[in-house]
Amino acid sequence: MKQFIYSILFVFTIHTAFSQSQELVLKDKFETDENTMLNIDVDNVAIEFEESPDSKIHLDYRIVFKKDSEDLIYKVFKDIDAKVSKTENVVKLEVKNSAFLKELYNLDVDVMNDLDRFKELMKDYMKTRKENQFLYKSKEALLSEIEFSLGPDLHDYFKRLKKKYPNKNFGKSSRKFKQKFIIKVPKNLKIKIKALHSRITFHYDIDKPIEVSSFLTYLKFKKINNAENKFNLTNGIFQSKEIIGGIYNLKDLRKTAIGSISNAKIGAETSKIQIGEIGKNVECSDYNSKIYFYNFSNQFNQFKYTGDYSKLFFYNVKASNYFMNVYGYNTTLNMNNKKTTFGVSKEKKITKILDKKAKNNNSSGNIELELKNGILNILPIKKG
Amino acid sequence: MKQDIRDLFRRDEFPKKKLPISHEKDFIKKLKREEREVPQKKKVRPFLKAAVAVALLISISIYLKKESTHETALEVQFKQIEKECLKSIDKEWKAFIEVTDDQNLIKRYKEKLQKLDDSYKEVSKQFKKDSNNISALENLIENLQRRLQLLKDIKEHIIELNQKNKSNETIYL
Repeated sequence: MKQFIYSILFVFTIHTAFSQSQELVLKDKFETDENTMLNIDVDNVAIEFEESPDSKIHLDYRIVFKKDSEDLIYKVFKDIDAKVSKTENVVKLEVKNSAFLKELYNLDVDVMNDLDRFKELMKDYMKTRKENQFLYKSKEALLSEIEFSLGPDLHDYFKRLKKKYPNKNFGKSSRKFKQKFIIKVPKNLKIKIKALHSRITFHYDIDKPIEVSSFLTYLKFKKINNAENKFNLTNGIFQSKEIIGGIYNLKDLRKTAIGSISNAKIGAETSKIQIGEIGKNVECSDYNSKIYFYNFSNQFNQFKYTGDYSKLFFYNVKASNYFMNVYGYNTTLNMNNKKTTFGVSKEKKITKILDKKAKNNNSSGNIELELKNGILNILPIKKG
Repeated sequence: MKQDIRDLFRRDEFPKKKLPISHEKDFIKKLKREEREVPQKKKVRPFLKAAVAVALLISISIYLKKESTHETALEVQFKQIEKECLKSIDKEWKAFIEVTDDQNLIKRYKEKLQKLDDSYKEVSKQFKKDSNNISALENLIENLQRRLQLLKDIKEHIIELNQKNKSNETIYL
């Protein structure tokens, strides 16, 4: 087995006109076939996945330095540990960078330059967030949010501000370097990812099985389409334009945005989840999450949900052409500006809270909810 | 020419000097003088130690002064925020356990908050090492916000469940 270790390797340096420099960490390529698997185990790294122009995996990992400082380059490279190898048709990439290479908290504004102004902007951010928390979103609106998003809402807020006021100077991040890791993979490749404190973005649709296990990692996908997909995510952020098939365990995620989902199972805990459209055969079980079901497709057939201490948001229910049955105990229904708590009994007996019939025979599907200690918000469509 | 070295001492030309009678007294006197000189040397050492200590203290205070000047810019503000947030977190925790009797829920939240606190301590160490590390600061603030928000949300959730308007009648739409 030939291993390629590039831990502290300065192969070449590209100087740009702005005294930026790029230092190469790792560059390699591997031939693949339909059975090849890409196995990734990474800490403190930012990776962008693109579709390969051929049947090879191409890896190109560099660090971009704002200023050409030898000390900083030495410090950064001392904390990088990246290696890639291929054994029995498995390409294994291991990146075990130290926290110095941290990618997640990198607000692209100069906070220190004007602290008072920053405080004002933060107030505005909190206010806007509060005002918009119950607003309806169309599937298209959520898809554009995902497309635009850098990850955390606060980062998106500043990105939006910069776009709105192009002549205002918000300053730049104080960070002196940035990771640039591009992996080009053939579309037929099976991928397994284990990530910690990382940022992983896919710029192509995935049709082959993908397994992701992550802690405090920002994940962004376009389309994920396979019944064998398995996601076990703790903390961090998960955004995907479309999900077809698979099992998704989302624990303590501070932001989850899914454009549309079908033939999939979600298991959630204390997460904030927004779903643009529920498609065919989706099941969800939850403990104490806040979940927004903005829309249902015309033929979603069946949507099953069980939750404890969940807070759910449904929109335009009365006008929609689906059946909806809600069972539960100690559950509050917020509808027409009226709050009512249902099924309060010492025996904690499940009772029927709500029964909604479809408008006509061409029903789009059946929603079955079982809520314990839950809050069900049924809201009108008010666009922001 | 070979000769026995012992014969050399037996010869007359080798000086045979007798020790003076006062030799023993002189020796004792000299010894006592030496002894007196030793504590004199010891007197110098504490002075040197004090001088070194003063120099060290001056250096440390200059260093600390530099550090505290730096601290004014960012760390002092952050310490204030940290203090206020931790106080609010504690207050929210007390309010939360006041409104619920679900021990399983309390246990889950205790674990969640403990994990967040462990992570906070870890990042705090990084921030102390490098107080210019804005990303560590962002991480710390987010951690505090997250804890506060979690507790506020669950408390409000339970308060909403316990609101007065109750019903056991199914609603038909």
